[in-house]
Amino acid sequence: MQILQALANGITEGAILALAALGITLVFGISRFANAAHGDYMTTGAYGAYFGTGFLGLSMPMAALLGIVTAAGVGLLFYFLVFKKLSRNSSAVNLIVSIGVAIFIRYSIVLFAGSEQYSYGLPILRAWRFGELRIFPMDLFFIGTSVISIAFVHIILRYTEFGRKMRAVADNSQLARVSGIRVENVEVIMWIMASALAGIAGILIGMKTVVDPLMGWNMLLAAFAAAILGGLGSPGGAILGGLIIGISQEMSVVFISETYKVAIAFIVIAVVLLVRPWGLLGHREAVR
Amino acid sequence: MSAYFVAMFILAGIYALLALGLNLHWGYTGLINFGHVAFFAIGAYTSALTTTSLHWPIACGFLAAIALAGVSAYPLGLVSIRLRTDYLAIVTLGFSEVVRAVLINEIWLTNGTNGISYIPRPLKNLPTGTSEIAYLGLVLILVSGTYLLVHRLTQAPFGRTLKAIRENEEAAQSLGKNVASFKIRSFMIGAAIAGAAGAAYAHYINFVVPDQFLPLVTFYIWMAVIMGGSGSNKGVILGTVLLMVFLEGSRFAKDFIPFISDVKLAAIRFMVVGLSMILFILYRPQGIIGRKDT
Amino acid sequence: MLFEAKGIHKHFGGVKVLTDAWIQGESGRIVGMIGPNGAGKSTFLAVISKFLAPEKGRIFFKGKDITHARPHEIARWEMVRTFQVPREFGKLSVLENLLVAPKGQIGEKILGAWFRWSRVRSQEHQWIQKADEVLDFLNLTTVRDLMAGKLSGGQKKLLELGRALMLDPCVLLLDEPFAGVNPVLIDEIIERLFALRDRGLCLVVIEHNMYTIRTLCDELFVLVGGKVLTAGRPDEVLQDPRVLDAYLGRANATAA
Repeated sequence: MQILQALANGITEGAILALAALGITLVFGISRFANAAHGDYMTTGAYGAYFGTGFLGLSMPMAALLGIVTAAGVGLLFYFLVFKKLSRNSSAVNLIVSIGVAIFIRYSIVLFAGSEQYSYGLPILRAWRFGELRIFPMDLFFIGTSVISIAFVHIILRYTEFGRKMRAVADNSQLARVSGIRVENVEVIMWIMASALAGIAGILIGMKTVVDPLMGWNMLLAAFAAAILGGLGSPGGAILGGLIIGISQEMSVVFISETYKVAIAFIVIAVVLLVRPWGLLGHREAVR
Repeated sequence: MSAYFVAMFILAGIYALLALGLNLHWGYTGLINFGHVAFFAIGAYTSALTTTSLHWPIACGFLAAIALAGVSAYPLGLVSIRLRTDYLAIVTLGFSEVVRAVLINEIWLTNGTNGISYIPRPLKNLPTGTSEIAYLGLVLILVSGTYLLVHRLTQAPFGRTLKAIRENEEAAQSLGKNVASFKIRSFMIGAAIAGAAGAAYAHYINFVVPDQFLPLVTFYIWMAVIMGGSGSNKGVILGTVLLMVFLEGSRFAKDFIPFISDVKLAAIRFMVVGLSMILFILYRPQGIIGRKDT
Repeated sequence: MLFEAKGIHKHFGGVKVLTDAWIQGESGRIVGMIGPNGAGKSTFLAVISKFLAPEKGRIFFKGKDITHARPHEIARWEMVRTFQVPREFGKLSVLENLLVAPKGQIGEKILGAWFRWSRVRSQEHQWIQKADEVLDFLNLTTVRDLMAGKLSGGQKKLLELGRALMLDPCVLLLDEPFAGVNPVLIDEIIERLFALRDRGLCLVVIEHNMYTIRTLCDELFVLVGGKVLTAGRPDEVLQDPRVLDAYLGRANATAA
């Protein structure tokens, strides 16, 4: 029964992780580097929404919108100020600078909002009980939001003209440029999408637990594990990876200590990168 | 007042050791190590445990710290052979977080979040004040000795081949260099130096807890290396001095901005850390000492 | 036979890149490997120098079966390869680039660097002398202390050659050594390669340029579609209608 409960919790966690991983994988596919600030974009979204509920008295949906826009804005800001200038540098340099960006964002938030935890003050809904199994109604909302967001991205990527251009750039940016695609425009839209997704993920975490400055950073390793497991650059992979990591982490808590959750992410990352670096659904040639 | 400076210099020396180790990884071999604090922790805890629970003499604790930290880098060295630089970064970050999880969880060994206290300080029988200065002396000897050893290594063909591997691994391989062996050795030596730093830290502060070994420490050292000029041993020492001046100097800012809370002051400090990393990489990637082409 | 490879099969995914490819080389000979683009020449070179593993086939060097050796071991056995796109160590000086190459440097061992410094220094002295000779041979002495990243394309090619020479190889595998080189330098490089041949080296050269092929090579192997079409002396091979067909036929097809 504990296992079933862990499974249920894991699916919710996994859905949120999938959102985070999707953002990471979009950045990796098009700008070709691992963005260590992604977690802090999530935190930005959560705090943006809190500003909405806590200070502007907005309803949760409006506050969430504010949070998403804030996250997208921050993502765009740092693209123009930092990453765009380093687009000709190696992915290693971009990764290193993204650590600087992450730290800067995280502590700007502490400067403005302090380091205490906040909550959105949502009504607490009682869990539905099925025997000993408890399902929280909010979990369904989280899963639903995640599914809808991911479906939205999927539709854009697969069925729109712009999505075709994005996939072309992810596949071979030089070829795409030569065939007339404005790569810079694709990158801008990609960053908006990825940061907005991060914002949504952050708000969901804030709704599920609390809003605090390290919330995004704490999830970063697991989100990377999900993206890597699924295959960096593969949106479908991000979803699959998110679910697997989410469920494994929750299951592991049944058998070993809560603190070792991070070990799951680490082991997955190490094993996948060593054995099958293109992940479950990624492309073999894109790697190494 | 002078006691404050002595403390500052001791910490600076410890950070300098960490920076020398990281410089070997990144500046010379081109390995991105985001888990450097793990070796710091392993060194600190090893020396702490052996000198408290096992009652070993401090010198032996030190040696054990260096050895264990160095050895713990071996699996990472193996991994670094097969992974791209940015993937290695993520794996090393994960490694340091797992080490921290172990420190928190394995209470039977590490006493969990309560940590290990009453770690002996060498030369503590001297009158207070002198004992601190004596410790500073020890740290300075440690740093100079390490600097000389690392300097010799990097001046030697060993350092040159490391740089070649950083520049173009396949070409080095085609010349017959056992790239794997070089990467592993570089990783282990850098880690061993971090272990020494950990031991020095443990015996100075006299207690260790897992919270002292957060990833932020790794990134402080990265900042020192980037600012000073990666690839130059003198450079990273300079970078460490700057780091210390900044970290410690910002404490005095409180005198000028009385309304600001400690938390917010610390936040500003970290913001500047992040900002400096960004600015240096954007506008002066070679650091202060490095040449434009480095 | 100084070295030979036979029955080499190599595929990537479902695509067969090499089928039953073979080659042999004797000391004091320059062997050319030619063929249309995509015929598998670079892949073949990579297989011989163990950067890629063949699915089937054997490679022999000085009588020893080296089919399962690793790339860095080959260099120790005196077969060295250069790359089509030069891979200089950009941030090291030209001299340092050459100094990286030699084998058996005590200074590359940690204990050696710490405890046998005088021996390290005397080895360095020796290597620097040899490097200066190589630089002189290649006419690169003027750029001795320049950062390798700043050299011209042709100079980088020469530097690659120089690095390989520091290893005293008996077999040199050169992947398009003249590509991107100023025509003025080509004859100079050919002179150098002749000099090396006369010292007893065996050179295997991938080339496209008809002039260099005719001037340089003692024998030719023609690779088409991953198979060895024919092999022999240049004047014979280049008259072979199948060879002309492979080159011109393809060209005509794409032109149409």
